[in-house]
Amino acid sequence: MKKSKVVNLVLVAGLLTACSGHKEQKPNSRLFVRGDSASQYTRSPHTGMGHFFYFGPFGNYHPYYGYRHSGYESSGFSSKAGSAHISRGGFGSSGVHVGS
Amino acid sequence: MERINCEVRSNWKQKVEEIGFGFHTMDGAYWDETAYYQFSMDEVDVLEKATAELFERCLQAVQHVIDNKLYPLFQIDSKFIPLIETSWENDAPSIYGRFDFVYDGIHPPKMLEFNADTPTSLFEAGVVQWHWLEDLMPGYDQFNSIHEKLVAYWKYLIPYLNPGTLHFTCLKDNLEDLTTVEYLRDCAIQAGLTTEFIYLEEIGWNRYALAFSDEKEANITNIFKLYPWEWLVREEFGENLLIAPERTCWIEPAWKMLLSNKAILPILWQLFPHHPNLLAAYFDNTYLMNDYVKKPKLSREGENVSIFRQGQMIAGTSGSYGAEGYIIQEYSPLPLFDGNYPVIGSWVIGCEPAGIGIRETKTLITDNLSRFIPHVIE
Repeated sequence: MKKSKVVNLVLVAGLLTACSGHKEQKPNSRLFVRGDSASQYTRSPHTGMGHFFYFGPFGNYHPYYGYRHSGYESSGFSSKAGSAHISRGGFGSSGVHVGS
Repeated sequence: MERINCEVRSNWKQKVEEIGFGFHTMDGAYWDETAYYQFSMDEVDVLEKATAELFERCLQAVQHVIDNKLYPLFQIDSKFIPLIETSWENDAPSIYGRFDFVYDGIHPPKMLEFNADTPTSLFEAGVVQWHWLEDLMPGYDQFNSIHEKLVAYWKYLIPYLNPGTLHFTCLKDNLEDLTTVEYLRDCAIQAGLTTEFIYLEEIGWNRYALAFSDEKEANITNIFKLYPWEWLVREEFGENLLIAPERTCWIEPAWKMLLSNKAILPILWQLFPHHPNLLAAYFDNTYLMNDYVKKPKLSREGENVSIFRQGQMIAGTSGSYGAEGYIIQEYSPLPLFDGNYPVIGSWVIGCEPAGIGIRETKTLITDNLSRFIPHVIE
């Protein structure tokens, strides 16, 4: 016999009901995910032209390379907020369906 | 092998929805029980043996690629090579794959490709067609032990997983993907695993713990993803996969990147020339085949595939693939049954053949408009 004897499902049968309700909306725009959400407004080390201030969540100052953006634009979208040290939305931007 | 027209169940929509099959109609009918395919037991044995044989050959091909560092042929970013090699050396857990065959019941099955990373149509093959058989032909058999093999293999994998919950993930807003993943999770629960579902977009990166985290901010230690590796590695969190990779066990594992890439087809042909279940395949048309198929290495759902006969293109599809390069495969026409071209999807669960599902089209190239047709063994 090649056939399955018993197929019991505990989850899948409930899927249709679960999916027929609220549907989350994806925004069209991309979301900027900060590199360091908890960082401060910060003074740079001394440069040839003196000091300057930069806002940590969006960038940082490197003594050799100078000011650089940190964080990234994400089109994967998370609807969840949580701890500052956990960023979300970094997966899921390459397609809307996986079928193969 | 025969195609037999039959009466549909009067309440078929209700019947399939009762078992959780909600995508029976997509861009037209997808689940199609106006006909079924009938196989002899000998034909099923041929399919089963070809599946076992090819799976073994595929594993040998992966070893060959790794031993000879053939990664440039796959257009894989060199940063991710250690991830592939480590997952292979550690024999990282894998649950499933699906070969697509040309088969007419007369000639040996020929492998079109191996959907080794993110195969879908699992629920239709494992559950929906089984219920159809029980309703209409309960005395008949079917090449289908997908369900019990999934439960058994999840159970087998338990000691090889990291401690903690097994997460399952897929993209939001796609019922087909969600059903596939929830079916796999269902089987894992029945195997005794503790599971959670999280949408892919909700996976977090904890920059203190250097670990992926779920919505409750717990570290993800094991995760089944219905999402291609080649997409994961190029996204914003892609490089995080390289940080302490042992903290998260990804299923399917990273080495499946090699088997799901069509660059594996010329390598298989090079290693096992004239194998009865393989089609000749090359990285270019060096051998000047007249009848061949040109396929992008990473194409999905038949996109950007072209068929040439006598050097002339007779069919082609559009899409967004091809920048990664193409392979050339000998053209082996799909058999024609009442104006329909079936492709046999033959499942491997763990390392064993487990059953088949058949998708049919009216065109020479099987695309996302194909229909799923059930089968029986006579």
